[in-house]
Amino acid sequence: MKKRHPLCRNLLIPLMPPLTLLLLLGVTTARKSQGQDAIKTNKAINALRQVDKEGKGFAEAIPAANLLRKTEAEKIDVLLDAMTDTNPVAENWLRGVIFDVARQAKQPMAAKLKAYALDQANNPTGRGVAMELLLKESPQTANELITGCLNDPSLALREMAVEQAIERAQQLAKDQPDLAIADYQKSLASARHPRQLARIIEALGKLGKDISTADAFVLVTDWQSVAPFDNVNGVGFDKPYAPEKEFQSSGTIDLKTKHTGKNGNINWQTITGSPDLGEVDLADAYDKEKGAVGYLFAEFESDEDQPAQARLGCINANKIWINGKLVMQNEVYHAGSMIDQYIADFPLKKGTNRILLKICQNEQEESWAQNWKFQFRITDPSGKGLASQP
Amino acid sequence: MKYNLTVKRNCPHSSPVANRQFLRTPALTMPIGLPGKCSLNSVIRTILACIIFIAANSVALMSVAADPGKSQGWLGFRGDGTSSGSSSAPSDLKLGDGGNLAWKLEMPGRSVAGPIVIGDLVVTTSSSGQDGEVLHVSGVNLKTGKLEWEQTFRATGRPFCHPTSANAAPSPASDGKRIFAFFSSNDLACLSLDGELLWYRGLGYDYPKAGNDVGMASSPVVVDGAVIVKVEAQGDSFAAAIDAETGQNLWRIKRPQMSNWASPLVIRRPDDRNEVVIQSRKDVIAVDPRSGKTQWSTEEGGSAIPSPTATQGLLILPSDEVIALKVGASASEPEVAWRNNKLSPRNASVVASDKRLYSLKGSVLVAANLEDGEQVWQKRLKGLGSAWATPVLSENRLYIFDQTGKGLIVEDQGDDAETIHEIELGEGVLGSPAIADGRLIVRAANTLFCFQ
Repeated sequence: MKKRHPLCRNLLIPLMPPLTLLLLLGVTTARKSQGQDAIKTNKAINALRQVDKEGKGFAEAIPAANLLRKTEAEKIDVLLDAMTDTNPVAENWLRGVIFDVARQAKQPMAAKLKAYALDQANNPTGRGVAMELLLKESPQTANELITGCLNDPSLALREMAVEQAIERAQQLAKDQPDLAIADYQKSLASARHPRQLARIIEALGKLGKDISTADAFVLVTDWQSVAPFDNVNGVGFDKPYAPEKEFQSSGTIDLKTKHTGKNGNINWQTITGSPDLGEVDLADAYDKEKGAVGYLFAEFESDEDQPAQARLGCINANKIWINGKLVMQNEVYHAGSMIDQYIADFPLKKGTNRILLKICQNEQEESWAQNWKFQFRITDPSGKGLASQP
Repeated sequence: MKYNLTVKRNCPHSSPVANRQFLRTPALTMPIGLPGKCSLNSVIRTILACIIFIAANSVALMSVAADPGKSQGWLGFRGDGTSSGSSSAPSDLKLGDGGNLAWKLEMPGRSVAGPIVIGDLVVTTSSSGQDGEVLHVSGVNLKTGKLEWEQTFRATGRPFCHPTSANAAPSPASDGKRIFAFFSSNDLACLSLDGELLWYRGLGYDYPKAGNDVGMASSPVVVDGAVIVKVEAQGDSFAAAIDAETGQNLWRIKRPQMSNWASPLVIRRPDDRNEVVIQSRKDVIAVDPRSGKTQWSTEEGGSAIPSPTATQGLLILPSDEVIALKVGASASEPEVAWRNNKLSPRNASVVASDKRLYSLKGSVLVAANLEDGEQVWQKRLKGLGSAWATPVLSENRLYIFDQTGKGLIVEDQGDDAETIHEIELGEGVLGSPAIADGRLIVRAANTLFCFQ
């Protein structure tokens, strides 16, 4: 042990009591200061989480963001945790601050980010952001981890894993088609995002494994329809015609009831989606009628009560009721369409669920404004297609 | 056809709010967390950090205040609204050895938005993800091409668009101190010049029925401390001003429910008031930036794609014809100076010098006198495909790019014009380029190019 110089010892002895006092005071002050800092941090996090529509909570959130962006990178998990169950705007405030912290980090964060992203007990959004940051800092490590996330409960991680699997299969397709098919099929079971599903279906088709979009997405293709009701000058969107009134009051439809339509008496009739794309084409069924409203009815059996989503792709104005309740309405005509274009949450109940769609065609004359059709499905909250149970 | 102007001379109470300095704080590791291990060192570190923090803030404040160059550059879509650069852009564009490409940088996603330049910082937006829902804002050093920072967000509104477009379609804007990045999904992020998030508005979340799935593209403008956005579509159309400092709505007004991609434009009136011109197919209105009150309006609509242009006291409105309004002669109602039905542009906005206007009609470029609107020359541009990007002007040279990435430099030679240079970038260009510090900055679909 190193011997202290006598002069130092002699000098230190009389100084010991005040030094100890100073040290104790310092420790107490530091602990108090850290405690206050933690309170400030929690308060600032709450301010960001409270941000909402039309600038609500911004006055508190702006100084809070200034404080939080100085968070030590070591404590980034506190910010990632804060992303649990936030609204989309608050999520972006937190995201921005997290990226500020990561950009200013003096030390590598890979170990911390890896641990956070892999722990399934953490919130799914925060885990996704942790993996995004890890991809920037240590892409190789991140990509190795992503490979194992094909069935991860975090949709963000799952989407990354599916993307990786698609890219791997693309590389194998030319020389090892069997391996590519296996990879594609594996990713098909895991994929939830409609764009990824569509790409996998297309790739499998090119490799000789035809899977219809209708089957892969579990689109609802068997409907009863009644049309046309009047929608000249767009009057039909807000006008509750008889099927709509009937469904809203009783929660069901009597398919034997005859109605008075735009051009005379009309009856419910069977209409079926195309076998490949599952598109239900009203223009084809109703002689390209313009300025028209069509109603469609279907029943969907569920073996349990569960949260679900109604997902509609439709280039026409539309409304959807399920079990008598309105779940979505979109008064937009001929401005783009794709599967899962409109999504609404609703409770799927055990037994028979009844669905009524209102699909409105306007009178635009352009060649690109002639479609009157839709694709519809019911999914779980992750986007997994649900089939009606026989 | 008579051009009707309905003038509502609302008393302008546009007391411009002084743009307060944004207090930029340096990256410091302040001890934040639960009470735990502690030592004298941590106390000293805390005190030191506080001292450095205060000192550094003072330095930051001083450096911002002492840097007038920060307010210079190309601060929005079409620069000052004319598409004309104050500095001289290179007279040719050459890739490869011996060329004048200063740098190029791969971007994290796709974009059809133009870049902006604030001092030495180039800012460009991109979108990626399955539906373009991942939003990127990148800050790049103008001189070196080095990525200085990048922010990433998730769209709160509808990210869908036509395959030729992108969620990153509106060009960002800046007041010289802050960046306002706007997207087709109606997300609006306000960042410091260091890329730090100052506030974030999800206008797609606030107003979910506004927008369309072909893609929005109107670029914001910043004036009098207000960020003006124009969100016109078949749904809940509106125009709004967001306070640049606080992110709060100053006003929001209803707009015609029809698709519209034209951007708003700031004009300066002779009584030193600013007005924002907002154009649709149904009307043209000029509003006070702070109150949103209509100062004057027309009963005749304009184009839904090309935006208005202002130069030398004239407001140039594109429609089936091009109409020039005198907005600089007096502060009273604007009067029609001239109109010319041969100048109407197809997609790109009209470009203006102090003497001439240039209108791109497909692959035909037309030049006209600013004074009377009379055509001077027209030139078919051989090899130019479908062009969406508004050309930019430096001296007598126009830089024109098409959606395949073919670029032309066309020289206005007085009575005629000539293509003096051609380039193939290999990627489509749909955003209007920027001119700053003798450089031409071009945002192609996935790459940012800088020529000097």
